[in-house]
Amino acid sequence: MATTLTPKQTDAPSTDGGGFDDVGDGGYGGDDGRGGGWSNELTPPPEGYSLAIRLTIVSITMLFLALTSAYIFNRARLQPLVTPRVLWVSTSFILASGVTMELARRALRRRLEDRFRLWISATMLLGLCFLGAQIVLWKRLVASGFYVNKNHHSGYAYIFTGLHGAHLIGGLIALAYVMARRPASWTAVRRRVSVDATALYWHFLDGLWIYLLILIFYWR
Amino acid sequence: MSEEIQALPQIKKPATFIGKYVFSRDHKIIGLQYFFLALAAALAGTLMSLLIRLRLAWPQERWPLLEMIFPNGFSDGLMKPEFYLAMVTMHGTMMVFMVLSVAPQSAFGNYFLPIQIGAREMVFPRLNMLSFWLTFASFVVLIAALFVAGGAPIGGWTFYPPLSAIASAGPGQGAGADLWLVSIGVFCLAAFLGSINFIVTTLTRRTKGMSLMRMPLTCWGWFTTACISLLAFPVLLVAGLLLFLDRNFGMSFFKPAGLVVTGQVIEGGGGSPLLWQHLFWFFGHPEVYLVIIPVMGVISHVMATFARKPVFGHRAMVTAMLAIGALGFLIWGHHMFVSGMNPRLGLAFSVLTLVIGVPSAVKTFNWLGTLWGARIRFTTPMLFAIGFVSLFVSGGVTGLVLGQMALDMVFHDTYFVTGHFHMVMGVAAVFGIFAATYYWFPKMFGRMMNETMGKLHFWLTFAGVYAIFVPFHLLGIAGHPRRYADTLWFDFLKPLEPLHIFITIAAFVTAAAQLIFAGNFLLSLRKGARAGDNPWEATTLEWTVATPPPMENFAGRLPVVHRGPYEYSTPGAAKDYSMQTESLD
Amino acid sequence: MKICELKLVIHSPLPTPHSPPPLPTLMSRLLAIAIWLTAIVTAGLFAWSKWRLPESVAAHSAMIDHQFKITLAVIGVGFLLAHAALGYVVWRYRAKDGERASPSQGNARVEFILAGCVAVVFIALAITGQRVWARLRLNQAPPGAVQIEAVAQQFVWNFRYPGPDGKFGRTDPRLYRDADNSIGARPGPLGLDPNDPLGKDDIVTPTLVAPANRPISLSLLSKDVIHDFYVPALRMKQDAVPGMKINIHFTATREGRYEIACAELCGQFHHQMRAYLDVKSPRDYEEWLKKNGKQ
Repeated sequence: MATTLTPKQTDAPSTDGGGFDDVGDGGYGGDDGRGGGWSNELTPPPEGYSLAIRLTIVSITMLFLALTSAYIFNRARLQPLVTPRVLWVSTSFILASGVTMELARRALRRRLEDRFRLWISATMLLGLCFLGAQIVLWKRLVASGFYVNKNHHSGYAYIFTGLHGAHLIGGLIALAYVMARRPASWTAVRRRVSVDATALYWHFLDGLWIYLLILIFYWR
Repeated sequence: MSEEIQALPQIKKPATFIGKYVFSRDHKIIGLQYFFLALAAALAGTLMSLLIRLRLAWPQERWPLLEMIFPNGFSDGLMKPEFYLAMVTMHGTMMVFMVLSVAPQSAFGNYFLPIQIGAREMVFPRLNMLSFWLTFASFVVLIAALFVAGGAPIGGWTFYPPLSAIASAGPGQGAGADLWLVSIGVFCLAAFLGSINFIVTTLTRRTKGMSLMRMPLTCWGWFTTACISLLAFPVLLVAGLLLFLDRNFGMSFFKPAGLVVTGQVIEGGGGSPLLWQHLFWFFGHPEVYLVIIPVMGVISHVMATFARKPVFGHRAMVTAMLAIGALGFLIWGHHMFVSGMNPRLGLAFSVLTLVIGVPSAVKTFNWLGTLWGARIRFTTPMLFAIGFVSLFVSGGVTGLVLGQMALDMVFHDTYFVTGHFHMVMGVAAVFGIFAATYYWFPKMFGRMMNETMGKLHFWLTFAGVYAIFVPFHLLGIAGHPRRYADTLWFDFLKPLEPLHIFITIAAFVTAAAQLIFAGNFLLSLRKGARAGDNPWEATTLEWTVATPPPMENFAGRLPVVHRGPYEYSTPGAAKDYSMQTESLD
Repeated sequence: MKICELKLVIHSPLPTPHSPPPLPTLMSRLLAIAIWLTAIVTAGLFAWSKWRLPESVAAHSAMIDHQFKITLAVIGVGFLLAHAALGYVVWRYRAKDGERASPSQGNARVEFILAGCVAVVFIALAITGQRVWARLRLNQAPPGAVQIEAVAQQFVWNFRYPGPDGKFGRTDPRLYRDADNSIGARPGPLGLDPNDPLGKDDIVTPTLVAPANRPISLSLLSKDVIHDFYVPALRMKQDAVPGMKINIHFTATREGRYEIACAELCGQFHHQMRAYLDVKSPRDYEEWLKKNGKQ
C-alpha cells in the first residue's frame, strides 16, 4: 500500500491532531488519539480484557436489574419464603473466596508463583463449595415445600440463584484458564491483566450475591 | 525509538476452506457471513410479507399452488387466518432481528469498523466468530418454528402474553412459540458478545492519530449501537426467560389468576401481562434506534463522499446520535399509552417522545446542510442516501402524531402505526443497507456494481415503497386495525379493500424490483468492472487498503491518521479530497 | 521524517479512472422532481377529504379532531419544507466539471436556533396533546354515569349491566358457559354466581346498548388474553387486560348502531371479533332495560 509506511521507517510522525480546528465549527478535535499503532502492533493492549470484563459486568447488572424490576412488579417479596440456615454457609464460602482471590492477585503481583496457584486453587474450591451449598439451599427450599412454581417469591429465588450460579461457573472457568495456562505461553503483563479482570468479575459476583441475599431472603 | 526492525505481527492465515470461510476469525469474512445471513433472512421475510399481502388483498381467493407448498397453511386453497398471523409474526421477527439488527451493525460494522479505525482485527476474533454462529443458530431455530406441529407462533413479533404464555390460546402458540423464545434468547447472547467486541475495539484499537472525533460517523454509529445493545438485550433476555418459564415450568409471571382459554381454566395466577410489555418495550424501543443509528452513520458517510463536502456539523451529528441513543431508553412507555398503564405515566413518556424528535430533526437538517453547496455525484449509493433522507422525514413526522396520547388512542394498533414504523425503521433502514451495499461492494468484492441496473433498482424501489406505505397511513386514518386477516367482517373496513389491492400490487412490483438488485449483485460479482483501491475518491481508511483488503488489512505498518474523516474540497488542495492518511502540508 | 512525508504525498493512491456518473444533470432534475412530486402527492392524499377519520358520535371527538388537525398541519409544514429543501439541493448542487463544493463544515449558530425552534414546536404539541388526554383519561366519570362492564374473550364481546340495584353480582371463572349467551342465561358466559343476590338482576348482552347524551362509564375486563375495546366512531381505544379492571368513560351523542372491534391481537380469529354499540334515545334505553332486566 502506498499510503502506509514501509517497515524501515520506524519513527512516527509526531505532528498530528489539530489541523482542522481553524476551519470553522465542527472541527474534528485535536486530541492525538489513542497513540496505538506503533507499540500496540506487537503487544496488543491488554486493557482490552479489563474493559471487556467491565462491559460484561454492566450488561449482567442490567440483566439483574431487569429481573429485580420484574420481582418488584410481581410483588413477589410479599409472598412467603423460608430462609434456610445454609444461606450463611454459602455466604461465608463466597466471601472467603473473595479474600483468597485477592490474595492470589497480590501473590501474582509479587511474582510468588506457588502462592498464586495455591490461592487460586483455594478460590476455585470455595467457589465449588458455594455452588454445593446453593444446591443444598435448593433442596432445603424444596423440602419446605417451596417449589419453583409454589409462588412468585420461590420462583424468583430459583431464577436469581440459578442465574448467579451460572455466572459463577463462568468465573470458575476463567479461574481454571488463568491457572492452567502455562506462564511461558503469554506475557507477564497479559497474564496479570487477565487475572485482574477475573478477580474483578469474581468480586462482582460476591457483591451480587450479597445483593441477592438481601433482596430475596431478607427484604420483606 | 529503537531502530531495530521488528517483525510485523503475523496473522495466521488459515489453510483450509473451513478455517477460511466457515469458522473464520477474520472480521471481514465474519462481516460477509453476517451480510449473507441478512440477505437470506431478507429474502425469507419478503416472501412472508407477500403471502400476507395476498391474503389481505384477496381474502377469498383460492391458491392451490401455494397449498402444495404450505399444506398446513391453507385449506381448500384458502389461506387460514392462523397462517396469516404466523406470517405476520415471522415477518416481523425476521426483519427486525435477522435483517435490520444484523445488516447495518453486525455485517458492515464487522467488515469496516476495524479498517476504518486502522486496526488489523477485532480485539476478540474468537468471540466474534462465536457471535456469528450464535446468530446463525438463532436464525435456524427461528426458521424451524415454521416446521413444527401447529406452525409458527401467531402472537405478533411483540409476543404479548397471555396469548403467547398459553399453548392452547391458538395454533402455533405451542412448540412454535417455544422455538421463537429460544431463538430470541440465543440472539440476545450473540448481540451481547458482538457489542463487547465493537466497544472494546473502538476504544482500544484506534491507530495513531485516530482521535474519537476523527472517526468516521459510521464508526460512531456502530459504537453507539453497541452501547445500546449492551444495555437493551439483557432486558429482552430476562423477558424471554420469564416467559419461557411461564410456558414450560408452571410459573405465572405474566398470567393473572382465573384465565379461561378454550373452556379450560389455566392454572396459576398472580402475574401481570403488563410486566411483559414494560420489559419488552424497554428493549424494544432502543431496538428501533439500534437499527437506525448505524444506518444514519452510513448515510452521512456516503453523503459526504458523493456531495464532495465535509459532513455538515460533524460534532452535532455525533452528539445527536448519542442523544438519540440515550433518550431511546426513556420512552418505551409510548408503546403502552392504551395498555392499561397508569394514564399519568403517559404524560412524561409523551413529552420525552417528542423531545427525541429534536436530535432527529438536527440530523435531517445536517444532511440537507451537507448537500447545500455540494457538487453531488449521482451514483446509486448516493441516490439511496437521498432516498433515505426523504423516507426518514416522511416516516419520522408521523411519530409526532403517535407520540401524543390522545391521538395514539385513535391510531394505536392501526395501519397508521404500521405505516409509520415501516417507513422510518423499515424501508429507511433498508435504503441505508442498499446504500452501504452499493457503496462498499467494490471494496468487499473487488468489482463495481452495474450503475444502470442500480439506478433502475433505486427508482422502482423509491416509487414502490411510497406506493406501499403512504396508503398504510390512509388505512390507519380510516381506522383499519393492524393484524386483521381480512376486511370482510366489518362494515367500516369493507370500503378499504381496493386500497389493500393497490398496496398488494405495489408490494409485488417492488419485490420484483429487488430481483434487479439480486441480478446486479450476482452479475457484478463475476463480471463487474474491476474496482481500484479508491473508486469513489473517498477519504477514509478503508479506501487506503487494497481491494479487496488483505487478511491483515494494512500491508506493512498501520497507517497514521492526520486528518478528519471527511476532508473534501479543501481550498488550495490539489485534489478535491484528502485522505485521512495524508499529512497536513 | 521529511522523507516519509514526501513519500506519502508521492505515493498517495492515484485517482483511479473514475467515470463520472452519466447524465448528472438529467439525474439531478429527475430526482428533484420525483422528490417534490412524492411530497405533493403524499401531502395531497393526507389532505384529501376521502381519507378522514371515521364519522364520530363521541362528545370528546371534536377535541381530538382539532388536535389531529393542528398536528397534521405542523408535520405537513415540516414534511413539505424538508422535501422542498431536499429537492432544491438535489436540483441545484449537481456535480459540474472542474467545480468544487463549498468546504463549509457547519454552522453551530444556525443549528442551535433550528434545534431550539423544533424543540419549542414539538414540546408545545406534546403539551396541547396532553390537555386533551387529561380531559379524557385523568378524571373520573361524572356521577350518575351509566355503569357498564365490557368483558372480552376470544373472540366475543360481552356486556353486563348491574340492573335496578346498581350493583354487579359475583362471577366465577369455573361457571363460564360460553355456549349459552342469550340475554338472561344463567350462569351465562360471565359465570354469574347463582348464590349472589346482587347478580340476580344483572343483564348480560352481546351488544353494548347505551343511552345517547349520557355519560357512560365502562369497565373493561378480559377472560383470557389481552383484547382492545375499539370503537372507530368513538375515537376510543383501550386494552382490556386480564387481571385488571380498566375504567373509561365517554358520551355518545347520536343514536345509531356502530361497530365495536378488537384492536389488540388476540388469536386466530382476531379479525372477526365484532360487536355493536347500539346508541338509543334515553326513553328507548329505559324500555330496553325494563324488557331485558326482569328475569
